[in-house]
Amino acid sequence: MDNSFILLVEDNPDDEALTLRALKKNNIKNNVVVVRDGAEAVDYFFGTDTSGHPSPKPLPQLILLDLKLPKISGLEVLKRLRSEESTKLLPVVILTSSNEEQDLTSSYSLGANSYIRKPVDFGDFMEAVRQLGLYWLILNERPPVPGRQK
Amino acid sequence: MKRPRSMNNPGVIRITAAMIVATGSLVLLGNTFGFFGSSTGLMILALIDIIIVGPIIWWRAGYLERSNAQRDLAEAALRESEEHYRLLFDSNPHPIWVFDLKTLAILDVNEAAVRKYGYSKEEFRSIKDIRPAEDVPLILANIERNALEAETTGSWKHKKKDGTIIDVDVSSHKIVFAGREARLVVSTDVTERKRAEEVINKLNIDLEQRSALLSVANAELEAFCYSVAHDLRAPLRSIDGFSRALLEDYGATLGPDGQDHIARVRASTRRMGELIEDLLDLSKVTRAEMHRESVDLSTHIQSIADEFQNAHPERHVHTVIAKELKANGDDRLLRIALENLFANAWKFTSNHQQAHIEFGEFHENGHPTYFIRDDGAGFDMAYAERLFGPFQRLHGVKDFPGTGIGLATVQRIIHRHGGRVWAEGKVEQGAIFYFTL
Repeated sequence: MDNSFILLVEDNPDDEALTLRALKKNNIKNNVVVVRDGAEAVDYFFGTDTSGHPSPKPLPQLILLDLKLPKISGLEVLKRLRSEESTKLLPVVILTSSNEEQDLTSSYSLGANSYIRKPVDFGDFMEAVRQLGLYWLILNERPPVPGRQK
Repeated sequence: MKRPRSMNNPGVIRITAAMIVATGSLVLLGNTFGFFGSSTGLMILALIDIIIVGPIIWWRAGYLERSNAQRDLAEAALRESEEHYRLLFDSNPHPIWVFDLKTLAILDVNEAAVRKYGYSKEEFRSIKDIRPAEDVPLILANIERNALEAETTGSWKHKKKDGTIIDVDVSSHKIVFAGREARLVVSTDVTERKRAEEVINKLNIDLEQRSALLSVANAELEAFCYSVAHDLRAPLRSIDGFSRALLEDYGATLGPDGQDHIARVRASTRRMGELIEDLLDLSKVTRAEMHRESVDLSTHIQSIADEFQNAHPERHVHTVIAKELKANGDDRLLRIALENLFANAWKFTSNHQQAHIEFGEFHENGHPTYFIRDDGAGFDMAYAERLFGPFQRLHGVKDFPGTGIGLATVQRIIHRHGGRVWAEGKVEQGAIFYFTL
């Protein structure tokens, strides 16, 4: 049974709904876990429980990361992910509306695997998500998870 | 007037001496021979004396007269010359005076100085200095420094008798006057000029400030436009996405009318998306930094033409491009401008089986003017002014697609290069777009 899932980091509820819809329409059956700001995202991976001990959560197969997030920005989250052994190799696809060259450069420099611009047209958006799913969930080989459960 | 020989002329002395010797000899001779004993002898002696001495005296007298006349003439000439120079000094429109280097007292002063400063000649002679008190230490230092220099110029402030201070340009040089070491000073009132200069300076500073403010305002406006356009995209996406969701999930319930409504909603959002993209592109063009270099326009047009032909192999377009046309400007921006111009030509000839697009240059007043000509739909010259406005179109979207931002982009790029862009056209007879850089 495929327990791989997608982590969607998106603050806009409309975009969240549309992304989920697009994934569903494209028969991407993986679960999707949604976190709604940068702090929640960091917390998901590196959060501690009430007694202060690290409480590791299952790692997603793919992270869809928006750049414009409240509290902690997408780039910050990316930086954090790439600086920790446990999350260094996780595939991260930046999914954003920004087409600033600076964002593009920073994202790749910080170690994003891919950069997709959210199109205005939903048809195009659907197509983008379809290709995303096909590639990263099916075609792409997952990196080995360092030292933890497979 | 011929100068008579001076009395000191050695020739004259010789002749006089010779005459004396001759006379003396004759007298002695006469004496020896007892000539002068008789009255005839004495008479002859007397005659000889008269004949010899007479002319000498007469000549001498004439000479004295002539030399007196000469001296009178010279004196007259000297007086005249003195008067000339005194006149030059006194009538000179610039205030001039002479001051003693040691005592700093003013020795002489001309009429213009009297008129300008308001002090009389006597008052001038008695004032220690014509500059306001605060400048005195400066002056003394200046004099010390300048004592060694023959000629100096400088800017100073002087005080008139009525207390007003004027700005002057002072030029002075060393002279010996009435036997004393002195300086001749010429002063020119430049108060008016200095005021005018101050006004101009102030205006310039003002202009620079306003220019800076304008730049800042422009930059802020651009940033604002950009962020607004950017932020509009997310809601647009929502509108489009959920309209489609509505269509997909409830299309059947909506019926054909409802579906048509939704279709129009989606079409509008799509169009709005295009407009926003174009606006953002346009603003990027304005914000981008320019790097000037030599750009090969011909090569760019050729590659653009090739791209279009490859993308639309079904079109028959004959392109004529003048070779080796180079210009000085930003390579990337010029490419964008050429792309837009060519795209227009391509688009508006799409209704013709065979299309003809030409790119070239001609010279006017030594300046190269570039043009791109097509034989397509053209436009009515009456609306020529609207051509370059953002989102202005002279054709409906159904006739020819587009948002009307292309020419606005071209204009902005050309203007950033300091050039002009304009167009000529005739309906259904094509259009020519000209630009200079």
